[in-house]
Amino acid sequence: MSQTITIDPVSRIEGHAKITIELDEQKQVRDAHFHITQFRGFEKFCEGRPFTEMPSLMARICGICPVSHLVASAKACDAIMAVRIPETAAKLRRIMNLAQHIQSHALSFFHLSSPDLLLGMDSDPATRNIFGVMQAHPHLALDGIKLRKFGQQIIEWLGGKRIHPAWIVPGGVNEPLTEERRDQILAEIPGAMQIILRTLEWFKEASVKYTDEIRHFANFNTMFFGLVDEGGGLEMYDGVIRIVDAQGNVVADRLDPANYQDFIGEAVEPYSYLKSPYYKNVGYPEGIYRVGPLARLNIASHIGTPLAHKEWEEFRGPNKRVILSSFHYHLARLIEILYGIEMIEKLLNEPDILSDRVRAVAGPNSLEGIGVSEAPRGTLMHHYRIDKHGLITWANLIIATGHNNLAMNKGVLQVAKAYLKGTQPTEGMLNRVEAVIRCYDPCLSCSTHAVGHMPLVLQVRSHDGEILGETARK
Amino acid sequence: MISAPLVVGYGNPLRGDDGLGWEIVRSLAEKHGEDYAHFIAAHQLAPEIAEHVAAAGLVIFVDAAAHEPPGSITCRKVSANADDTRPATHHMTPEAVLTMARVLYGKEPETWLYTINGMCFDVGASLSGVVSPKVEEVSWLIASQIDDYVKTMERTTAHA
Repeated sequence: MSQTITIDPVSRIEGHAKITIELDEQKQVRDAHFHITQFRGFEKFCEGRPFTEMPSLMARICGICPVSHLVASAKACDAIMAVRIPETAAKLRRIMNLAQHIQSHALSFFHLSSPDLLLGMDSDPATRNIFGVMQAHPHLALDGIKLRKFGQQIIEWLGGKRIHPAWIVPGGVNEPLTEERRDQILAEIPGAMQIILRTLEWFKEASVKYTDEIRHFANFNTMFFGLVDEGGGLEMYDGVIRIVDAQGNVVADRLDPANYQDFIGEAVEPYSYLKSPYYKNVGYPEGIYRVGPLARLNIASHIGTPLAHKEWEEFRGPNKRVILSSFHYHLARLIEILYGIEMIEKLLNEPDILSDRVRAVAGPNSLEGIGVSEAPRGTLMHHYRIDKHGLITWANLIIATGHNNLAMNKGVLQVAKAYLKGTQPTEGMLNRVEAVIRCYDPCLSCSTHAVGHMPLVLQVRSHDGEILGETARK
Repeated sequence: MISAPLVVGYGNPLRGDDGLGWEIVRSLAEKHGEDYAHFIAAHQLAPEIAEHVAAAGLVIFVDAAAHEPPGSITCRKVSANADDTRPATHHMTPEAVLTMARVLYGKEPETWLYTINGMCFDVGASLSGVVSPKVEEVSWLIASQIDDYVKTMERTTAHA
């Protein structure tokens, strides 16, 4: 008799999802799915709005990465206006985007994943959370708060006000950076740098304990996808698309992000509201690829800041091999935080950073615009069409979490096959199934625009739906 | 020196009445000025809010609820709850934030949670007709509490 195991909802991720694991007649794992059970109506919601409202409207999609949506949306509006924004404006947008990466990565690493990494995958679930970390490792919990605050503070300082900062606008930014603000941010750099350097040192040492998880956590061949700069280096804001395969071969390079529909297909599966993008040239579902920190470090030829480049060289190894296990998203996240801190400092010290030429002004000059940037979780695409009055008639958003949908499903299956023993799984096994999802730090509010609650329920079901067993973690 | 009061309104401002916390924060800041209190509007409570809580003398959280008749207002005192061991998500509770403030910073200021029960949580940027008039009422209640706190602290400081 075939059976289905359901984990619903998945905990310590952003949003609401469930996992089902199907067993065959021999009680072996046959298939597994990661279901996004929220519905995003956002693309319909914005129809009829003036395109100039889109950045501030889109920023409200998510409380964790509003700046990512702000950036991609503003870039789409730049395209509608057909303007090239001033250099200083692009640099200032980059700084805010990097600050966003830092705060989001800090939340993922320190507050959502560190309980597994510090206390152990099999530790008591009652204390395997941020409160357990606070008790056992208060300094690390404080470091997480300080690093996240560093990123948030930069966003607030640049945004100019606490509520609804609308600093990034179509055409650039609406106010230049003041010398006082620049110096305020620069003064915070050393503290943030100390935190990330000691965290990297600790985690690289600690991760040797997770050999088994590294082997089984979505450790398989896929392509990797993301933006690189003109020289092939790590890029977060602009650039061109590069795709590499599991052996490190460049599958496609210098793709114009504005032509994404030529190379990305969007499949829909009946079990999830989350779309499943794939690389069209390979087809569905073989066109699976991963995005986000691990992908960015796998596709880059180098990193443009010295300390992060050194860490990247160590990460990729002497042969610059592609890193396949999704467990390494955690380390990739820390390296990107380091890059972000270094790059913010570099940009703030550039001579034109205080220039008051920060905005290009124009009306709609094109009826269509596409904006692509790298969000913390991966490549983010906003695509709008407008009518002659500048009102949105159609919108399509491809969210970073969506790009990883196929890989997350495959990862759940791999972990289930490795750890699921019989129809009464242990709590540690359940936690690993969730932990492989957490490696990707999925943001389901972004990808579906809703919020949910996080208790966990496991159901073992027969093929005809009868519940054979149920456990719950509240 | 009086520790500033902190008002944290949280919820999703694009889900109808879930955004009422933002509206109350905005209303208070507009009416009394941004220096009246430390104001935070957020989609959800996050760990770094614990630092702001630890620095405040009075903390007021404002959230939407959905378990009482629409429009009804509740107010309750919040205590740090060391037993609140639910998995940390982006959906932290006021109790969890206060616990973080106590454990990490050794501070547990007087904390209250105001809620208004919402009627409509569909996609949309405006409050329902039931909740909208309650924004001013709750803003007034919060302002009264802040004024009382400031007066009490000023008296205490003067006598010290």
